[in-house]
Amino acid sequence: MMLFRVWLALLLTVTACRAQAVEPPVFDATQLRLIRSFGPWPPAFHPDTGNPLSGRPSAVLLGAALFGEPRLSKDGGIACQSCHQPQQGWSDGQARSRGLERLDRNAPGLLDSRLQRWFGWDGASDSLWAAAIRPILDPREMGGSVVATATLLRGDPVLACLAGHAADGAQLAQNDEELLVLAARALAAFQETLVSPRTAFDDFRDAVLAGDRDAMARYPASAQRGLALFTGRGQCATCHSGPAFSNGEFHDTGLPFFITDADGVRRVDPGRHRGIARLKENPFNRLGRYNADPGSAAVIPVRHVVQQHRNWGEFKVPTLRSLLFTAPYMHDGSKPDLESVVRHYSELDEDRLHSDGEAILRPLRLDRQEIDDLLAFLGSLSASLDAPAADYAARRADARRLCP
Amino acid sequence: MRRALFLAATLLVLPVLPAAACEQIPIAARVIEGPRFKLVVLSDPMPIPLNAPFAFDIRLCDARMAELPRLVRVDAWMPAHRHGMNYAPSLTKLDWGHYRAEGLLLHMPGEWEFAFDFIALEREEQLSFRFDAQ
Repeated sequence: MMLFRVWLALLLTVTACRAQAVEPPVFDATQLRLIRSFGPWPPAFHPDTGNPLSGRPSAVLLGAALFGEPRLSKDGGIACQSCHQPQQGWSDGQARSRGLERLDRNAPGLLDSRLQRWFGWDGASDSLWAAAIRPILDPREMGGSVVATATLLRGDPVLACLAGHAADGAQLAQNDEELLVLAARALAAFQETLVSPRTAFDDFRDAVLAGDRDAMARYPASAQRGLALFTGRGQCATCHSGPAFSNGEFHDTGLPFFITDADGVRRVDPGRHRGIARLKENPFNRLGRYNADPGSAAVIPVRHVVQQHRNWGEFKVPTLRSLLFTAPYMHDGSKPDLESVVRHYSELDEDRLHSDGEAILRPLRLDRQEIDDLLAFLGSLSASLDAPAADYAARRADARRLCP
Repeated sequence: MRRALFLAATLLVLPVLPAAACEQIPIAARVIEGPRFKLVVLSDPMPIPLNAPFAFDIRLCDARMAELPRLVRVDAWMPAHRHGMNYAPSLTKLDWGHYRAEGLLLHMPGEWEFAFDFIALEREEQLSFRFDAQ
């Protein structure tokens, strides 16, 4: 983590020095409205009413225990945290993750995931708990099963004890599938606690709202110019909107449609197009029997989402918070660092984009100064992840104390 | 020919509809004046939210009963972006000239155009309005 602090300080210093002569920008009314919309941070907690365990402390402890539990996998060697490591922004640092087999996509970071509407790069899940089931049962990821998960939860005295506490006095589910759902709901309750820390940008945003010029001046001029580009000519905030810097929806950003396997065979990744089909057929979606609140507003998008041709090659807009920890980037991990990502949008291949896709995507043709400014701004959206990592360790310790 | 004459006569005789519902139009409602009737649209919640689901309460006012247009589709798109919503709203008829559209969601800031497609006497008609989502 010390390495991160040194890196961030160097990034901000270097970019600031490169551009010493350039003044901070003046934001127009639209930009100020966008800056306001990027907060407040941290956001208030609103439990997922579709998950009865959401926000329940005892369920968070069971979820933390299960998150590090390799026995959920077929070979007993892969846990959730194998691909979602706290010090890597809860991703794994690999371009494409490896479960029991090499997978098609990059492991997304889990911080702030509770603010999302869809889960996974293709949005095939509509709740955090349904998203937790998918890798457990996927034969290429953990290769677990409904029966094996239920047997583990029943048979392991520590997990059975934690599950009893999570159920809060209610009789533990007897049905295997219900036990799997209980485990997934607890995993979701734990993941809801993973929130990015406040950053230099958040201090600047609050200073802008308060009109505190001294506090605003502490935010590097290069990051301010990057923010001006982000909310202005770059139009980045059109998709990277709201406190989590994501509209939670899906776009085709001109990346290749193909995945190349180790043997050189190329396959198409349909992205959101197949994600919608998988969502609709998923028995654990919000339209299914396990949703505890079928009347909630969260059900409406699931009922009305439709598969369209332009969904081919669309992937979810990722959050930009804690971005420095989650390299490599994009759904296929094809961009090794942030500068590669910025250059992708600077030199966008318009011929590759859908004719019925996003018409405002145009190559930004950024100069060196603008690239540095954008990097300075993006860098300011991250801060040390020591606290969330320590919280995870503390929760696992609490679970062990509760059920030794 | 006899059918056309009957229809024409009906149009002249029957009253406009629905008078009471259209007299007290809420201030927050959007009123779109069409060539043959008026459309009154109220969002739920108000104002129209960005990146969250909402519904429309839709009333047709000053339309003659016999030619009362049937609302068949509500949609929205972003003219500058050349794409629409990721969601297909569902439409429920609540009463004569009174509809509710559910499942709308504007996932990006910017200018959106809402379109309301009608069929009246087998003739298609569209009314629309633009909205800056922020």
